[in-house]
Order: sequence, then structure tokens, then C-alpha cells
Amino acid sequence: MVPFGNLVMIFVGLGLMYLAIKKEYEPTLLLPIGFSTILVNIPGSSVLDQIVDGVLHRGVLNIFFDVGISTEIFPLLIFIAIGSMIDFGPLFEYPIMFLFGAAAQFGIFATMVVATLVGFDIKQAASIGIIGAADGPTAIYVAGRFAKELLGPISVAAYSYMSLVPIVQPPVIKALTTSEERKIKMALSHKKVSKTVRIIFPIAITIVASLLAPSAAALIGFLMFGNLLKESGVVNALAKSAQNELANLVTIFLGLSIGSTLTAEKFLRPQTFLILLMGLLAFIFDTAGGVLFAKFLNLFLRNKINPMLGAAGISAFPMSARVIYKIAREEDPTNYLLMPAVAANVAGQIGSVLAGGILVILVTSLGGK
Amino acid sequence: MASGMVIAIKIAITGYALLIISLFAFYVLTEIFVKLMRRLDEKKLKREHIQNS
Repeated sequence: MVPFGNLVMIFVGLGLMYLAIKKEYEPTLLLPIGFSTILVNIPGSSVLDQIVDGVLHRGVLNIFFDVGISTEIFPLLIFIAIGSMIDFGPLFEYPIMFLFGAAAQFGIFATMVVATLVGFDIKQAASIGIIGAADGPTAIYVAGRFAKELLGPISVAAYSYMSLVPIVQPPVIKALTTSEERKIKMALSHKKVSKTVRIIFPIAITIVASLLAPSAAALIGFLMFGNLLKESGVVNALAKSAQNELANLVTIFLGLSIGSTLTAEKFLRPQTFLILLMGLLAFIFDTAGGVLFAKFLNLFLRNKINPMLGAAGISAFPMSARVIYKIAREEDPTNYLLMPAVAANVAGQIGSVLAGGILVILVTSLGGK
Repeated sequence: MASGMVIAIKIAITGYALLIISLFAFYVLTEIFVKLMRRLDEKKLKREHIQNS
């Protein structure tokens, strides 16, 4: 007999796979997560640790989890892959977009406060807040460090809402901006930067960010190392391996490992519903924080910035940039905001990683070991 | 509960402020760096142009 809770979780796994296959919501992650959710909820499944005649038989998914998530290796390897895919070019054209990469992380901190308010302890609250980073590997990194017991629902929320950015962001943006503001055009920049700039940038960011937040050194360092592989131009084979083989292999193991935490006893709890709800809240706060910060900046700027760009400062790349581009074109078909939106989105990738590092330092020092 | 809230608010304000300051620093440094490199590239191009002509 399959217990009722396990049966529900098998349907949750099927649901995740449906979203991945039919709706194409983050399929690379939701498909392996959904499949391993089914595997771990079959009673006595050998993919999980089992004690037979008093002897512990290690389950393969528990081993994956211990090797890849508990040690933080999988999210860090994913950062090398992401770094090797990022093009910081648009950010060199619009460096001011760095500010939105910070402002749109507002959801992380606001949601952390809300999570504390509803009864989570500070480490769990920080792990829930990091869903607002809109960055799966960072969420897994922080939650894996502070609240392993919540890793399953946090990862599911992080990846699900990332794919729901086109649904979550537009109403918030439209509620906070006027039609006139949404029509603001940005000066187009066509100045190219030299290869030297592209090579020095990841090295400089690594050094400065690691000095500012040493606990972010691994996160930002691996991200920028991946980017350096690409930009150096001398290790194209390594860059391609990072973009393809490394990304694909680690994604498979990461997804399966996360799914191993989605057992009935860990997932079917009222707090899972709260986490999913707060994840949504985090994305709404992020969007609002970015837009309102842009409006605040406009009070002091002669050349106004389209405030929608503030919302592109979340890390969900390239969905958020596309959303802004689309809304701008709806308001005014001659308004091309794609490049500055991509710049803000890329800045959000740096911002989310740094926010994760800052959160780790602050929670460790202020929230107790 | 109350002390947990105070700590959470403290972390939230400090964290967000630190993040904005850090990325503001990145903005300023990148702006200066990119401008400087572009100027150097232009000078190099001019020098090459003069040498060629």
C-alpha cells in the first residue's frame, strides 16, 4: 500500500513534469526534480537510505545530495556554467544599470522580514527570502547552508516563479508606473569595448566583490571564472565545455538531488504553502523595489530613465529583460528597450550573487552560528 | 519572536544598504574604467593612424 502522502507527492512529481514538458517551465530543472520526486516517494525505494537488518544501505539520491548540495559543489559548478554564458557587453554600455541589479533584490530582504513575522527562525527566513534572488543556484546555496530541511520547497518556488516572471512582473510594473513613464526612451549606445575590458572586468569584479563580502567569494568567483574562460579567447574548448557538458551534467544531478528532498513528510506541511506564497511575494517585492528605485533616481536625473528597467534588475535572465522590452513596445512600438533591459538583467545576476553572500555574512554574524 | 524580528529588520536594512553601496561602487568603477579604456584605445588608434600616414 502506498501511503496517502506519498501518493500526493507522486502527483506533485507528475505535476512538475507536466509543467516542464507541456508548459516548458524551466524544463531542465523541473523535469529531473519531478522525476526524482516520484522515485523518492515510492515506499522502500532504493534511491533513498534504507536500513535492512540493521545495516544502512545508502541511497543514490542521498549520496548525490551529500556530495553535491551539502558541500555546495553543485550550485558553484552551475555558476561556472552560467558565467561562461553571460555577455556583460550591454552593462558596459549602460553601467548605471548596476544600481537596478541591487535595487531589485529588495524582495530578498523584505520577504525575510515577513517570513520572520509568520514564525520562521532567522536562518529559515533568510533561506526563504533568497527565493527573491530569482536565481536558483544562489537560493540552493543559501538554503543548503541555513535550512536544508526547506531546500525542496525553496528550490521548487525559486525555479517555478522564475518561469512565471512574464505573468508576475507586468501587473506590478503597470500598477507602479504611468503610461508616460513607460514610454520614456533610453539613448542608444553603440560604443564597443575592447577585449581588454572584457578580460579585466571578471577579474576586477571578483577581487572587489570578494573584498566587500568574503563569503560571496566562492559564488562570485566561480561566476566570473566562467566568464573569464569565455572572454579570454584562449580556452574556447573549456568555455564550450562549461556552457554545454558541465551545465547539462550538473543540472541533471542538481535536479535529482533537489527532488530527493521532496518526500511526503518533508513537503506536505503547512509551511510549504507559506514558502510558495512568500516566494511569490518576494518576486512582487523585487519588481516593486526596482521600479520605485528607478522613479526615485529620476527625481535627480536630467535624462530620465524608463522606470520599468528597474524591474529588469532581477536575476531571471533573459525573461525579465524580454518582459520589459515587450511592455515598452506595447506602449510605443518605436521604443527599443532591449539593450538597457538586458544590461539591468545582467547586473541582477551579479546583484543576486552578492546579495546571497551578504546574507550569509549577516545571518552568520547577527543571527547566531 | 520580537527579538527575532528586530534581528531580521537589522539584517534586512544593513544587507540592502550594503548591496546598494557595493553595486554603486561597481557602477562608478565600471564607468571610469570603460571611459579610460576607450580613451586609451582612441589614442592608440590615432597613433597608429599617424604612423601609417
